[in-house]
Amino acid sequence: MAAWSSGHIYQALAWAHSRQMSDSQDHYRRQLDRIVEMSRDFGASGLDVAMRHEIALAAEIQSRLRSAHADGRSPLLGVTLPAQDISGDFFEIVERSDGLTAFAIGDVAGKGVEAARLMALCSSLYRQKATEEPSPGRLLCQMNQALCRAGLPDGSFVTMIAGLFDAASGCALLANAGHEPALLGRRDGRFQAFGAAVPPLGIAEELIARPVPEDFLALAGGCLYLFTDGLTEADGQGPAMGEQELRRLILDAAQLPLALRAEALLGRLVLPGAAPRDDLTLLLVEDRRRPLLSRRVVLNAQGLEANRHAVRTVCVAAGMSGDLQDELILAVDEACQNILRHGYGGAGEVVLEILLDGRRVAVQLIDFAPHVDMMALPLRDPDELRPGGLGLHFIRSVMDEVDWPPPPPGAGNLLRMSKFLP
Amino acid sequence: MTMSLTIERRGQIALVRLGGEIDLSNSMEIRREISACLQDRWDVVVDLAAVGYIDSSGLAGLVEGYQLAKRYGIRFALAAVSPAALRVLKLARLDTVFALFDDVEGALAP
Repeated sequence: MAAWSSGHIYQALAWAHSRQMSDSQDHYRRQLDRIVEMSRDFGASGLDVAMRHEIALAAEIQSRLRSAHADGRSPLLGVTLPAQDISGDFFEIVERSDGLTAFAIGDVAGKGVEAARLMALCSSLYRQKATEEPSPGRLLCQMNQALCRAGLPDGSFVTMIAGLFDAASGCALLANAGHEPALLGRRDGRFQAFGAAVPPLGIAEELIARPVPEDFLALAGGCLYLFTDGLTEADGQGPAMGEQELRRLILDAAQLPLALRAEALLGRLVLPGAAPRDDLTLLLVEDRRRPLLSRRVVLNAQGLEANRHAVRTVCVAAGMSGDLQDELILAVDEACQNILRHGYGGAGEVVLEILLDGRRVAVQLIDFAPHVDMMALPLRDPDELRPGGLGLHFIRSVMDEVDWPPPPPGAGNLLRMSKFLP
Repeated sequence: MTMSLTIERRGQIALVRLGGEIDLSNSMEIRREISACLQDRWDVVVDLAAVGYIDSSGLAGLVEGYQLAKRYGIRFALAAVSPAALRVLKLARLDTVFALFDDVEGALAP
């Protein structure tokens, strides 16, 4: 009895079916119906032929569906090039109802139908959980539990990165279970790698008994590159790509639109028309904002002066007037001071970003202190003479808009303030 | 931190000269020095000519000085307020609260 039964193919197709674009729904429904008919017509002896057919079809659907993401609008793009008919690699992109985008990349140990079966299981598990569970670390922990209870064949396991992206703030949360490090390509040409915090999924439940530790990333206008080891694994045949070469390629392609960039990276490994030597999957998460300043520091009172200096430098470079510089500096300084005093009670990490959006200069300030409901605080009457409590009044006086929207996942508080340029 | 603080005695008056950038990292020191002068019942004139930046915690120190002086029935005045400091005083509507003098000599005059 083959481990890959028709049921699994239906599962894979149903999963594929559920995610395709609405304008091609009929096409995929017809294909699905055809497979159901085929399975009725063939006896046990005919299953091999049918399965080959189905697998080829599933592979085609997979590749078509995945290319559907390359519409140029989404800041996320995934590409899979299967080495065989169907891949053990997978990626997922899930738009959540809270406006965040959940994403994942995974690599099932092994090749062929068994790996594909596991891949389909992981994909459907992930898609089911990603709409409900915001924390990538908890999600991976739950997936490990589910995979272990499902009983993977001995020696099978899944390496996987799960993430959550907030396009509005340019921030992402990542959890990595045994997978290749994710690479954050920054706008200044430097890279930051985010490696695995725990072993792969599916080996033993107790190996990932608690939520996988998460990394908080401020993409700061950069791009996050997730890939499977097909991209960097050398097999001694042809132009294997080492991590250094991958970084160089990323830099070379950094100015290209997302889809062309992915093509450029994959194109170095696969000759046109030829099948890759190993499954290749690439998932890109791009922050399309272009901050003038992105500063992530552990701040204390002594660090406020350097912070003001950094703000001054970008304001000068952007050609802002002296008055405007002073106002922005005061607002940022008072906001940071509030975080240090009321959030951290001393020192703590902040991410400060300044963006120019047409005639509007916008400040984004993120901290990791316990959540403070700033909207619930009473406004100070500036005519009331007492020390303290002036900071918020200053911020509201010099800025045109001040808001505390829900913070990006993994952060404590988010302050947004902006000012319209004259 | 580039903040400077000197205190000169001129008769019954303590002339507190502040300079540089006043923020959360040094405003407590300023508060302490000003209150010490007032508690010793010195009149206080604060020279703000060389202040390049002052935040709300710095202003809070000046407000505290004003309140203490009022309680003790002694003088508390600001002199030669720099444009940077005046802007923040105005934002807090404190420019009408403090006794402001264009220059130090005017503030020291009996």
